[in-house]
Amino acid sequence: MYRSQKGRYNKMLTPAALQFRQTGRAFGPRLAVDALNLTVAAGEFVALVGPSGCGKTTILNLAAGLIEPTKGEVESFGAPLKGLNPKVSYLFQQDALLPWKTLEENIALSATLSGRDGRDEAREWLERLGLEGFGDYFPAAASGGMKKRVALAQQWIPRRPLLLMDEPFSALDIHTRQRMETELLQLWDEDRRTVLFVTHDLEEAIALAGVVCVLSAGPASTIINSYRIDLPRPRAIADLRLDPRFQDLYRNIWNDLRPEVLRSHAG
Amino acid sequence: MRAKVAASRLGLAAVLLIGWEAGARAGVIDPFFFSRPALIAARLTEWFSTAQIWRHVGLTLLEALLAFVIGSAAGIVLGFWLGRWPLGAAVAEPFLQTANALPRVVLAPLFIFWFGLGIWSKVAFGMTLVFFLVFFNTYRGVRSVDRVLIDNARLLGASESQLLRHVLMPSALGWIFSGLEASIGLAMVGAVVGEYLGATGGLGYVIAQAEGLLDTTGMLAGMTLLAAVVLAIAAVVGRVERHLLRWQQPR
Ligand SMILES: Nc1ncnc2c1ncn2[C@@H]1O[C@H](COP(=O)(O)OP(=O)(O)OP(=O)(O)O)[C@@H](O)[C@H]1O
Ligand SMILES: [Mg+2]
Repeated sequence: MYRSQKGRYNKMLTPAALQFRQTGRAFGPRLAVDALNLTVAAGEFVALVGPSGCGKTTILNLAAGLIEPTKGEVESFGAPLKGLNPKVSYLFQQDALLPWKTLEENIALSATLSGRDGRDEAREWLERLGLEGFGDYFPAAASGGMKKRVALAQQWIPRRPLLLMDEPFSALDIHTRQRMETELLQLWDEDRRTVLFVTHDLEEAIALAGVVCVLSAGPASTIINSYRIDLPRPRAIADLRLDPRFQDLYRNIWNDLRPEVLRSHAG
Repeated sequence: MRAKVAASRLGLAAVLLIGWEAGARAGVIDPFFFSRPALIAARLTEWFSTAQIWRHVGLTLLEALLAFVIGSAAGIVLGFWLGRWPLGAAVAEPFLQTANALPRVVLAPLFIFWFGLGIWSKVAFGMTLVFFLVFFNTYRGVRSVDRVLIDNARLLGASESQLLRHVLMPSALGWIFSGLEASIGLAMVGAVVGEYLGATGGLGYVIAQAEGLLDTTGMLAGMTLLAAVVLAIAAVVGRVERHLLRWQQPR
């Protein structure tokens, strides 16, 4: 009972998946992120929204341990981060599939690296993602949507307790995008692992997340407000935008976000 | 398209050879200085009628192959090593640049002095040519591997040796092969120049002998043979490369 994935006890007993305390990161003289305080509770789906260039990727890189903070600290599951964070999967903003491995081999990458044969599992995933018959394609021959699906499977399979996602669907057309958002929510509903999801699209953030945090425009970007999104689950992505509760939330959060977007365009 | 290219190539070769032959026969080209294709073909046939020429071809091939294999293996290993170790690379850079800037041909007599007239002076000389080219290509290839691919593999749990095998190697392979292709020619140059300067056999020796007799036909026949050998090896390497790099979409 204490270990129940969906239970409330879980949230109180397990330390936060991520804890930023007064964290800052500078690149040379330029302060990208400053005085960042953010707690991502275990089992939560948190979305970060902010204007382009404000430091969203920087925050995920800090969480993954790919870069170190220049101020403050980052804790993950109760332990201060030193080097790579072994508890995360990270779906990068750029393409990270290995071009010389087929889609199937890419899905099975984490299995291969841990010395297991992941082929059967990879084939199941291909089927589940509607990619039967494409397993022996190389990424260069796959469409953008196919590659994102494969990348999602590649990161989902290792079952790390924390999934970082950096604008995963921004480059997709609206229909593919809604399909993938639905697929992501279905996956997430199965085990409710912790997700930190970065996007510049407020609608997407509200549709997917349980908590939406708004970042200010850079430099020295920080979180200016957080909102709990209490829309019931499971959510029907395609119709959600017509829901009055959705629209209320959108109006509220957009009031915070709009000046930041304007500021980032002015600067 | 492919047939057209092949036909055009054949046509061009035929025009050049026939022009040369006809020019020589008409007296426009002096056969004493430039020989002519028919004579060269006759000389090659004569050579291959005895087993003697195979010894020379074999010797040159052996020297070039050893230089190629040892030189490129050393270049690849050092390239990966320094590519993954910035401090070492920074320390080694001026030394490597200096060594690479030396005109290598002046080393050939020195190597003959050190290693004698046998094959090892030629192998050593060929190696110095092959090594730097393969090293610099490998190093650049390793340095230009997409940062995101490395980070992704490391986060998925890749150890340094897995990183090498699944990410760095395949990624640098294109660079490495462009180095390898160019160094086949260099390995042959190493062998032939070495033989030319002092040896008891090999194609360079054959050419040098013909030169001593002002025998242009012999010299050109030797060069023709040399070119054929280089092209044959390049074709094999090209095959291997196409197989290993088949993930790159033809555009
Ligand atoms: N390695 C780096 N070196 C120097 N500056 C950097 C580096 N990485 C990020 N920055 C700077 O930090 C700021 C935040 O960058 P970041 O990539 O985190 O923004 P982002 O919110 O992810 O942007 P986008 O929405 O366009 O992806 C930018 O001003 C960027 O130029
Ligand atoms: Mg970004």
